[in-house]
Amino acid sequence: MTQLDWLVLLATTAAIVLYGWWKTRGHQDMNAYLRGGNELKWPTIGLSIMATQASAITFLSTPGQAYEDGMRFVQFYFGLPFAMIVISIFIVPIYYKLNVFTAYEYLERRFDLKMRFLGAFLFLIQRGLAAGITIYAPAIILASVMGWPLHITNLVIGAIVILYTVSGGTKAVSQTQKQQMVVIMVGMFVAALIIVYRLPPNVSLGDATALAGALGRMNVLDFGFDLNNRYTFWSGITGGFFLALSYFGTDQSQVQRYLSGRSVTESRLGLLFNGILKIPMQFAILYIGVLVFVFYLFVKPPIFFNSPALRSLQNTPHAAQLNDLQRRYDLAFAKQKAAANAFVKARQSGNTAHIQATKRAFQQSAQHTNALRKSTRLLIYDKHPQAKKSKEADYIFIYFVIHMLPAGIVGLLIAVILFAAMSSTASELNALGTTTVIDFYRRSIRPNESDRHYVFVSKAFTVFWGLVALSFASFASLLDNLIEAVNILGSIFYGTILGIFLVAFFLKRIGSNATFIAALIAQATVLFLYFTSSLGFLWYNVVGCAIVVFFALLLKPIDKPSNA
Amino acid sequence: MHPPNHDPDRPELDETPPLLGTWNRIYLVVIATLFAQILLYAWITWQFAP
Repeated sequence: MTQLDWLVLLATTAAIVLYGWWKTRGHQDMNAYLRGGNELKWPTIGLSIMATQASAITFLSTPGQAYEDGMRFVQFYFGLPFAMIVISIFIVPIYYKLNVFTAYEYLERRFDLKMRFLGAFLFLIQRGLAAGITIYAPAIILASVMGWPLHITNLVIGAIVILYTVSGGTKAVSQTQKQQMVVIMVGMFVAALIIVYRLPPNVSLGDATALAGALGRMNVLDFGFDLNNRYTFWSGITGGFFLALSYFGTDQSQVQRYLSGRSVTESRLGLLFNGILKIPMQFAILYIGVLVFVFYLFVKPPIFFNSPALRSLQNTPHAAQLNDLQRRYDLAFAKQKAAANAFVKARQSGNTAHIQATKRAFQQSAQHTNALRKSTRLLIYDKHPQAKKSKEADYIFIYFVIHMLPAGIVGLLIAVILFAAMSSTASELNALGTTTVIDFYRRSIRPNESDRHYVFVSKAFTVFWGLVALSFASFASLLDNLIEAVNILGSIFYGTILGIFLVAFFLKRIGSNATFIAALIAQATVLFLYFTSSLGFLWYNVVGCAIVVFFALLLKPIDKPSNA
Repeated sequence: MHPPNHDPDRPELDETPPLLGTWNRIYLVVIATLFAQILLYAWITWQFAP
């Protein structure tokens, strides 16, 4: 990074953190600290919700995913708008009516204390681990690509987040997220403009999209019914709906965002704002990945995007094998580039037969190039297993940013990635601290203390969870496939948690014991499916939720009427 | 009887939305936006299929 990049990065970070601190300076009572004083308007709530969901890995991985696999990942979000509507109609009014700080308080009002503890406990375990990964996942990539020390990168991201989350509470989190989302959107827009500008002069945006389409990168919709296919229209609209309902309706890191609204109206509008903008935003990020893909049809990309892993193999006895692959790749790329140019010229000539012929030649040459990339990847994974810890796709966008964007813009894009990490982590720490205080400390340990006491303890627990997340992030490199494991862990629990909340919201005659046993059965079944089947992970949400509802209905008689 | 955390200063739950008059119309706009996007994506998938 140049001095200009450092200046942009440090100036934007300092400006946003100082702004968050300045907006929330002075004493805050418990409502102000944990619910932002119920002052926030819908644009802040909406941006805060989006910033919480979009972690750094969203901006690192998603363009890379489009580069490798095309646009179909966008289907994952098709159920989200429906979930926003259901939450707006049914869930937001209930939380407001009961005036709760956390989603799990509602479970005690509806069932009993054990259900509240179960919900809060599952949240703390899942989010506590996820917060560490939210820091670690971008840190390992930035550290490796930029040559920064991993522990220092973890520490800097974590320390800044802990500082402003602890000092300003929920309001600081939301205010900084609003600014961070603006920088993120501006940064991605600028990156898209530069990519289009740097395409060859004879390649229009239509040509670029046609080139990507010829190689299967414009596969936005897939109406196939394959249950093992992770991203189809049907898995997105059903599994995605249940996942979004669970995440936005029951996960405290999101619930806390819209409970800080000035009214039900502001909270609903914030959620619906997310329901309208989330899919176009994901589409845009994926399309940036497709444009990077097209850019690298004309400018030779590395044979393997994880440069440090590639370099490590060049100093071993396997270098000869690697060099041979590289030589063949150089020739294959030259042919692929010529074929791409021929296809573009044919498109501009309008001759259908010529277009089809050049398209086939282009597809064949791309297959050859891809095969060589795949062979290289397998060689590197075989001889340098450490490289498997993060996917090659995660390095594509950052490689492009560092090598192809001008000075100043690199700093802006690194800020985008760091802000995305900070905004998600801030929400998580804020929610973890709140849940620990409200659902455990105030409920069962010290129930009658002053507001000032609870604010102090909330700050202490936010620091505690920040340190847990930092420790987890620091030791994460010792374990293999940790990121994937934690992501799957989230999916495994969400269905059950959603089932519990759906029974609570909509099946008023079912009591605590029936729901508790049903939740245990559902969790065991989902775990069994995880270990024994290849079912796509989105379906765990549907299965877990359905089993809780089914067995809760079946076991309804075991609760005494007074318990229901 | 009010719930334990009841706060009399909090606004009423069923407010009219600031746009379009009713919440149902706003929900319809959200669904229509999704439907329009799916149509656009279907066209893109068909138009740029390999």
